[in-house]
Amino acid sequence: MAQAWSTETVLALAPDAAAERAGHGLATPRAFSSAGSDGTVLWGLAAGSGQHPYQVVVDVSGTPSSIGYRCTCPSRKFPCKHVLGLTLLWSTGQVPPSAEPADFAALWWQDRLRTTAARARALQQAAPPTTPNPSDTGVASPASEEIGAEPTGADRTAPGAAGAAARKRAGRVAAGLEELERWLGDQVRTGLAGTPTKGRQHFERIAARMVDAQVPGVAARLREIPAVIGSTSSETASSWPARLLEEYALLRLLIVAHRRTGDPGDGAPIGPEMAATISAHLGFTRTAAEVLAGPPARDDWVLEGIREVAESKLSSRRFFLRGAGSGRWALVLQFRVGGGGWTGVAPTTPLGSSMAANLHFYPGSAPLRAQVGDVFSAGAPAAPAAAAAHTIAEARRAFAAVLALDPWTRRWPSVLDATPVRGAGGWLLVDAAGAAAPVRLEGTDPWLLAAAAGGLRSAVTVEWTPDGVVPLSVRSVDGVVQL
Amino acid sequence: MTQAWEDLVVTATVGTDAGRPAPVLPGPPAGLPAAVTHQSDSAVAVLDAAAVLTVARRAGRRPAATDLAGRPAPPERRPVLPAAAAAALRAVLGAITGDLCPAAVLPELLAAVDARGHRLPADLLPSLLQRAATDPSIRSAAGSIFDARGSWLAEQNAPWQALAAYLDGASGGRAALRNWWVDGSPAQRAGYFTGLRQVDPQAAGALLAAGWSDLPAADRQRLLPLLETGLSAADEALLESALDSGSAALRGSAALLLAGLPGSGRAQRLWAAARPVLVRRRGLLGSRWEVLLPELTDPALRRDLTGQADNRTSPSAARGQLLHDLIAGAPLSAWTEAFPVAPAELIRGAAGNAEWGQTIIAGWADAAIRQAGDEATRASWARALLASRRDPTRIAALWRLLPVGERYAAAVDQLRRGDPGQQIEPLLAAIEAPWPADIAVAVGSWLGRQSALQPGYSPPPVDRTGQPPRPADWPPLGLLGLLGERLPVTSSPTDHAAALATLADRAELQSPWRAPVLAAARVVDHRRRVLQELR
Repeated sequence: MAQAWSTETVLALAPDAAAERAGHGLATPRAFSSAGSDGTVLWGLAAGSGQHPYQVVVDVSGTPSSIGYRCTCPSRKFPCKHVLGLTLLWSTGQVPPSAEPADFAALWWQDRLRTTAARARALQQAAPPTTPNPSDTGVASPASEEIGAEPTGADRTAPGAAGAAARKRAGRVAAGLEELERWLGDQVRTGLAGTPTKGRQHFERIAARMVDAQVPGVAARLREIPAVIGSTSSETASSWPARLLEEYALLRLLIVAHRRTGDPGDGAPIGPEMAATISAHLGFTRTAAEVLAGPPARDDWVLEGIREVAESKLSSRRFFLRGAGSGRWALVLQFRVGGGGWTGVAPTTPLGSSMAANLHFYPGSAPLRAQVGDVFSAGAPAAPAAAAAHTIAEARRAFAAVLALDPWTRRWPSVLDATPVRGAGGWLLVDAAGAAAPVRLEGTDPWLLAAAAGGLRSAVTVEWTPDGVVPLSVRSVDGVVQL
Repeated sequence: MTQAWEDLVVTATVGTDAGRPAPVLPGPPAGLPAAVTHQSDSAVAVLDAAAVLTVARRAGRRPAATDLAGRPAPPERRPVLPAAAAAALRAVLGAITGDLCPAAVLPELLAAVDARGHRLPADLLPSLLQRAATDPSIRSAAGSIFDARGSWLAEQNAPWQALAAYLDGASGGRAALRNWWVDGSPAQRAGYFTGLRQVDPQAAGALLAAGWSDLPAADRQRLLPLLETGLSAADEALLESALDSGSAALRGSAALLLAGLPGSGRAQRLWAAARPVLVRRRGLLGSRWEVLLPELTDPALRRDLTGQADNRTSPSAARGQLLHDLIAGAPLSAWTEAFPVAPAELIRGAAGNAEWGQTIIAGWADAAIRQAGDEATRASWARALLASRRDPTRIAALWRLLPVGERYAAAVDQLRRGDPGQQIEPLLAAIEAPWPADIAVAVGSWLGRQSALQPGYSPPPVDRTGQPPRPADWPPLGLLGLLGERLPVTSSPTDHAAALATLADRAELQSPWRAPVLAAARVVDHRRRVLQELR
């Protein structure tokens, strides 16, 4: 039996202020006929402009962040005012309990159970199906497309039909990307000027089309755009039209690159690594087993940073490893759906120590994401990180080299030899040459960074981004401090 | 290239349909097919050119140069807390953040760290500085564990600067912070002052008095109440002058502080007005007490009782407030000198007046709690006030005025008698962690006798009228909370955490006492893990 949610948490689900107001207005028993709740699902009929009332169903079995719902109204807001109104009504105890759900509610609930189970199975078997790409940490989570009302449900096809299914998918992808190409062209033809006023919906609509076209990586990029153009945090960031144009241009680049994978025309052919990078950015996934079948990279892998990103539905843990011998970086991911267990094999060595192990990289032109293979020994004290630490200029050059291989990369790990300093506009990491990289905190406590470094140049593991560095860990006199 | 990019952004912003002349696009990188490099559609051409420039810009964005440099933290003086103890302390902090353990356990644990001569590892500094900045008991219990890096860090963050000044003063003091007094922000000034006051109250008082006339009003209001730490007769002159201030807030602070100085001129003036309040009449059946409420309109008297009368309240409540402040401000010892009877007799006499008796008794209680001076007088009043059971709101504070041994004995006594938890709580609250063994044993057997913790207990049914269950079934949450914080941490087999857990296990699931007893067991366990690592 679900605990009733507070009004505030329900209102927090509203996609915008207008929906919040409208939902509030509908939160009266009069607005819904034959409303009921069995403690797991809420249902009700809302009068609309058409002949038939809208059927509203809400899954309230979990927390507000795991809400699921459907409403037959034509609104493109998720959740719509009917869902909000009914849930608000329930949160104030005004929905009568009933053991017998309405037919439409029961049908939807069964459907939902099936798709949830299918998704959980898929997660068990494979890397999370919606992980957009290895080097992308992005603001929006891979799970963002699951938050919408209708679970899309992955197609499960019998092995015999695999070839046909692949062709069918290729056709969908091509058609979807063509649609996106037209859309991008339209944006630039009519001008970007009005975009911020169009709101999240503007991107949500085309992103939903990309989910249908089975390119969830593209959908995730589109859904990140409102946050990208809305952020004003970084001093080096340009104005929003420039940031928006950057995002559109990179999408256009991805479309062209995908097309040329199949048919390079009279240009240079696209190699298998680049093709793998392109398909990873489009959102094609590989199973862990596929990756583990690839060649191993044996090294003493030093665990340099751990970052946990908790999202409403899908949380992720990111382990940053540096090969002591090769100097190569690897990113190992774990995922968790809701309150379940972590899937994926994590490195078995404490932060700051090293493990002799085989990592298997996801193929690509600038491989970063990896699976942990055989581990030979773990927990060895790591060689001083100072040897691996870079100046800011070196880190920038390394990032540029990665971009040359994978132009869609947003961030890349690095160890900087730098001092955290508080500047007028925020925290900086300043190296011996006086170069300053702005610090993007993304939730870390800058005072922890300052405490660990003690005003001295320290080995700071960061993710480098063009707009600043995201600190992950610091080597302090008292050991490695996770940020 | 910058120009080319800006042209592209402008073109894309207004739209290629707007008829702006096409920007000069940079040449395409080599190796692209003709179909990509020769776009007839100008919008697509803009996107393609933007893609080239975007990647170039991301790769080439250079960090700014700066002349800012870090100021290194001075070298540490103490060895770092051993890893196992640090891990246990991190676990406690995690439990505190998760609301599974009260923050009140920290002073004891950090004092143990201090006693072993350790310093905190760097990663624990921010969270514990944050706590110490808002909880003076931590900084007085264990200021030294922050060591050099802790003070260095605290100096840089405004909310911690008061603490920085204190830590700095506690560790010898550095001239650098003295600048804060002259040209720091108000918060830095207050921080420096707080620190100095802790270390050298006389010097801090003199500094404030010397700068008083030049200080902005906001600073005065912020600084004056800080004299509470280390308050002494030396501060009287400044406080006396503040009584004439134009600011009600300042007058109020000054009056409150002067009430803590029974030797002050204000205390003597108030005594003159307070003495006639209580009149002893001798009759055939012994003495009889009368309360005569003075007018309290004398301007000189109102100056001393300034700022405390709140004109929003009713005239009678305002009068009560004045009477309370009059009694609380008059020297406590003067009463037993003027009337050669025990405090208990005076309390009985005042209580005879239905209208004002309670106010007078509350005034005495506050006088005993606030007035510095003769410990024996304060203790005798506290004892009498507690015995009279007439002031339920100040019991814990009054118990604290009694010698530790007396508190221990009283607590054991109350526990043996089986008093309700709600009654014992204020006394136990006045006994700091860790409790001595005999109290711990008495608490254990007291808990063992509680019906709500017995096997077979069933809670009274909540009837349809919503009648609450028997008061005896309500768990004394305050008391049970204290168990976790203050029961002594011992090694098995007399481990209190285990004993509490056993009690809770034995209790019925539906007993409302079970969860708080289990929670207390967990808290004792958290403390034990840290303290054992420090043995």
